[in-house]
Amino acid sequence: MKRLILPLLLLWTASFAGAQERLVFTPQWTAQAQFAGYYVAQEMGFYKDAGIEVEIVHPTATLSAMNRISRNESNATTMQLCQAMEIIDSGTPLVNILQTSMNNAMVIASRRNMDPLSQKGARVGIWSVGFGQLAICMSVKDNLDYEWVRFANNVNLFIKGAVDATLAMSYNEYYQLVQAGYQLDSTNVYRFRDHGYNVQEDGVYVTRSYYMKHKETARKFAEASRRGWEWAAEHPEETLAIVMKYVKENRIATNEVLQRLMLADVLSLQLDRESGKREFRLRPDMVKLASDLMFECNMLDNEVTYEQLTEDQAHE
Amino acid sequence: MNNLFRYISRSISRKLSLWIVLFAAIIFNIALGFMFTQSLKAVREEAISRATKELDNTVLRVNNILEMVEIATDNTDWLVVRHLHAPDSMFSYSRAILQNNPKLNGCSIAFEPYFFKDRGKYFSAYSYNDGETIHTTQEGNDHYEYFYMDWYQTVKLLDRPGWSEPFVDVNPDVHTSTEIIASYSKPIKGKDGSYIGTIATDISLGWLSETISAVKPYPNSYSIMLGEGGTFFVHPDTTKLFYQTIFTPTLEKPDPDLSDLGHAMLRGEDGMKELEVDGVDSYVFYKPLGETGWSVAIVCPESDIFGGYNRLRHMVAFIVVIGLILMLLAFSRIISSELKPLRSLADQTDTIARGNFSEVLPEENRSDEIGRLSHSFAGMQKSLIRYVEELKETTATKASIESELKVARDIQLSMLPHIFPPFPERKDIDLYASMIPAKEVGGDLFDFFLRDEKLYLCIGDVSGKGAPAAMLMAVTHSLFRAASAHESDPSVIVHHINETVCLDNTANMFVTLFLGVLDLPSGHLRYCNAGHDCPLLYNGGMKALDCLPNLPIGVLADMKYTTQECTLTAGTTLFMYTDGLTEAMNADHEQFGQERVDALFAGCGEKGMTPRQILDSFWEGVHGFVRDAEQSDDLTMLAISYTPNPFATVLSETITLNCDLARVPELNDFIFSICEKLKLDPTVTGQVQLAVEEAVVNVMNYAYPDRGKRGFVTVKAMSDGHELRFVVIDSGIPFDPTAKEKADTTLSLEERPIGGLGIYLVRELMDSINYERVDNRNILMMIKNI
Amino acid sequence: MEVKVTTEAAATVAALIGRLDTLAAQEIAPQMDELKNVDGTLVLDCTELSYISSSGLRIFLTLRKAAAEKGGKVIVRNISNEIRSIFMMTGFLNLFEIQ
Repeated sequence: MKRLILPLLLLWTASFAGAQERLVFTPQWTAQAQFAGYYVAQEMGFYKDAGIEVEIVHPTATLSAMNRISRNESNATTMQLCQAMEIIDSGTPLVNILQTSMNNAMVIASRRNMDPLSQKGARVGIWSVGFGQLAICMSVKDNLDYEWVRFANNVNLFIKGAVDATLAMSYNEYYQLVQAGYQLDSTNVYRFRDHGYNVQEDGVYVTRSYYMKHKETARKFAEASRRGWEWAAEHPEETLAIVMKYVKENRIATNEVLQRLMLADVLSLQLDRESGKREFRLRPDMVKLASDLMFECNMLDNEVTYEQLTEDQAHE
Repeated sequence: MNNLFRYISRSISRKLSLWIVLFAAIIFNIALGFMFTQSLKAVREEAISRATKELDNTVLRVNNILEMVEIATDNTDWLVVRHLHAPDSMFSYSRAILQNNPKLNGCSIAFEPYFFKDRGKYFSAYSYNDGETIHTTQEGNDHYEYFYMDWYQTVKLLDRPGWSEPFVDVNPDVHTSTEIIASYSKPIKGKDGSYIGTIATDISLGWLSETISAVKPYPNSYSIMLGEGGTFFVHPDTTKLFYQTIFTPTLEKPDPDLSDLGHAMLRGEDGMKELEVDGVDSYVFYKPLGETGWSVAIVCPESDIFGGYNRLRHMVAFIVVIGLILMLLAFSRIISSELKPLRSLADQTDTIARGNFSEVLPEENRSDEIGRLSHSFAGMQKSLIRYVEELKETTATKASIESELKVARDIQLSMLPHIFPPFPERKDIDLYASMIPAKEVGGDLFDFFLRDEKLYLCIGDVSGKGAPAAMLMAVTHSLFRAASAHESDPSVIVHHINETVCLDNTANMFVTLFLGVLDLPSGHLRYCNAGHDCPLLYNGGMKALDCLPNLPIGVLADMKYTTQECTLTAGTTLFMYTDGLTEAMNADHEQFGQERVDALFAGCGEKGMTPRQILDSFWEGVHGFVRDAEQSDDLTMLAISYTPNPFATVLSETITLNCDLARVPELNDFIFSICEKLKLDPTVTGQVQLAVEEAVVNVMNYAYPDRGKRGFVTVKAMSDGHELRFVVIDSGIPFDPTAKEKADTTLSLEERPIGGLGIYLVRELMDSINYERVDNRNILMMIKNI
Repeated sequence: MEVKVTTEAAATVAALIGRLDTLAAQEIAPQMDELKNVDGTLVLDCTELSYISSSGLRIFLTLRKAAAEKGGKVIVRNISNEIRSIFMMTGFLNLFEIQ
């Protein structure tokens, strides 16, 4: 129960502010293919090429990425759009310096062999670390009155039968469920993006204060990260090897099979549904959609606009 | 392939040994197949029972320990509930569990947020044993929100105690060591029965892993343990531990067998499945671990279970194959050596077959079939030598017999008329005949001769063939000649022949005979048939001569034969044959037949063929029919064409006298006057006078013994300018002067009879005489050429 | 037909005159029977015998046989060519001494 107490590297940050600009990047989850582009950029030396020194530090079950950002232990993190908007609304201005996801990956997988939508009042698992805003909106909007059960970082509640359904990322928990022997298909899986909730997810965020001080570093990091993702899309097998290296270093309970599937799914989610391209941009319409939904569901006190998310960029 | 077949089929030993080995192979196959199927079953059952037993034992052991944890937790539960008023006591309870159960790693007694108002959001009394000491602390804080942890939430949500999925406790200080931990959690209920927290006890599963891994019924078998999500918690391949589930491979490549196994295990079933695991055919025995939701399985490679069996099978198969090959070779050798005498026998036989009869056969002392064969072969060889010797003698004898028979044949053929045409001076008759014996000598006969103006002829067939038939043929022929010398009635002649033949017919042979006497001046044919084929007649139309069948000669001594008669008109052709013609056979055993004979003869008649041409065309016909077939019977044919001489009368006078010798001068005067008219010279006149006087006196003296001088005799004189004919007619008793024996003029005085010269003189003086009895009259014709 | 019997030296000569046919042979048979008793040589003079039938030949043969029994002999004298040819035919030439 204690477990997973990773060494805190916070103070290192300051001490390395030397010739090269330094940036600590913490993805929002443990090491996996979801962050392949950053590992690639790191391993392939794209960050170095860009003249920045990047350290990748993963969060722990007890210390989330956002915690690290707010403690200034990390400079940049990945975040889902909805999550970022929630944080901005709660008073911590964030700037999206790179948008990777162009599609929503969230699904509801039912434990029973039936459509999640038909299970009013069901116990549904949700991440304890603050994803799943859209699901809460949807539950409210569609009067499903789900009982949300927060879970830490695995699908055990689902497996044990403690929940009727669970939220899952199509690239991650979804495959874990399949790997646990569940047969998932259109009858028991609800994909948000197919029901009017196609809101972009992962993007790279920094606090506005950091951004104002280290614009160039942030820009370089974003550029190099984008290069990493593009390389990953072109070299999926090499990328997988890099991912597995990180997975092993971090002793993540996953395997190459899952990571390959995850990588493929994450890369495909980066393709804009309309243009079919890796656009690496926030779509204002999606920002508006997310903002409206969340506002409607009382998750936001104020509307969060595209400009707020990208404010400074817009001015430059 | 064909060559192989030929190679095998050329030798009995190869064939036989191949068959034996083939049968042996089939029998071995069936027997071994049955044995192996049965032992396969037995091995399989043995494996199942062995693995199952081990699995059961293991599960039982593990369950004992797990139960211990459960009991320890249960025992603490009631203490907690009774002391909710004193939160700090929770620390001592959690500590006490560890003290009482050294195997346990830790124990949390955790409560819902803000349950103890004075303790804030987090209250979780946690003790853990680091191996040396037990540490106790409150573990909840903002970074460790224990109430989101599985161990806490699961029992809360399910409202029942249970085991968590095993998890890994990572000690950051000691990176290399990982420990699998599992928690047994139990909901803590308040007095009102509402949920207030969770008590959870940790146990390291290191021992479990060891216990399960130690289960190794076969050298290459291994054990696995799956969590409820299919994750491997025990697996010999540590890369799979925690990181992979049993379903992981199916994500990339569907594997229904593996999926089935995984699902069965996750459902908590107990059983066995055969499937390919990581590319190895295996038997997987699985069983759930108590109430944990975990499942234990033993994976036994099939090669392990059936390794011994397969080794045995391969060994036996190898031995059988080698054995069969040795058997093939051995049998081939044994049979070959057993048959060696046969081969040398075959060689010897070849030599013998080439004519070396004296080739010495190998001595064979065996008592089996081959020995017997050798013996009988030796016997055969001896017989062969003897036989060849005999054959040589026989051949020599036969050659001499053959040469004798050739002589006999010449004699026989020379006995029969063989000069054709036989009567070149005669214009009224043409005749041709032939006899071809089937063997050297034949039993057919034909004969003819002219006596006075009569043609005596006969054709006959002796029963049987060859020498015996030839003898009887000769006898018959002689008898015919003898009997017809002084007799012109065919039935009498036949009767004579029959009597004589019957006399000493011990061989019971018989002769069919057709005998005819043709009076050439009148065309009067008298004949008697003794069982012979009826002759054919052609005179503008073809018909068979009407013949009584009668019995053949030699059958019945006192047989009465009958003479039949008819008159041949000018231009008639008569064709006689033996059954060698009608019964001539071709290679298909088809007979030439009466129809063909009739048709052919009719054809000949239409074309007006001469007798010779008729016989030639019959020969041709028969040869064309028989072709290469051997002649089956003697073949005899005789054809006669009859055309009486024309007689243009220039003088015809008659005188009738009563039988008184006193009338003789009148006769002489009558004859004298005839001779005068014909201007014959005196010598001829004298001769004619004497001849006619003698003939008439003969009649006068003998013809009417009862009537004496009251009988009459008529003398008719006729001439056509070339010949002078006298016909002496009387109606007295039948008397054929021509049948009288010719007087012997060479006898001495003492032996010489007084009489008998009259007819002799008639015969001597006239050119020809001829007797006929027609209508109860004796008609004697005398002809003198002038 | 006429038969003239004369005696010449040691022989009895019987001259046969005319045709000795069957009828004549019957007529002269008694005369000829007497000649059977002749001793010594009997000469049958055929000088004037123009014809002889078999009956005549029988008489000749009878005489010849009778003479042979007594040891005498029969001589036939002066036979014509026609009769000689008859004698030849009948083998009489061998039985008789012909003069």
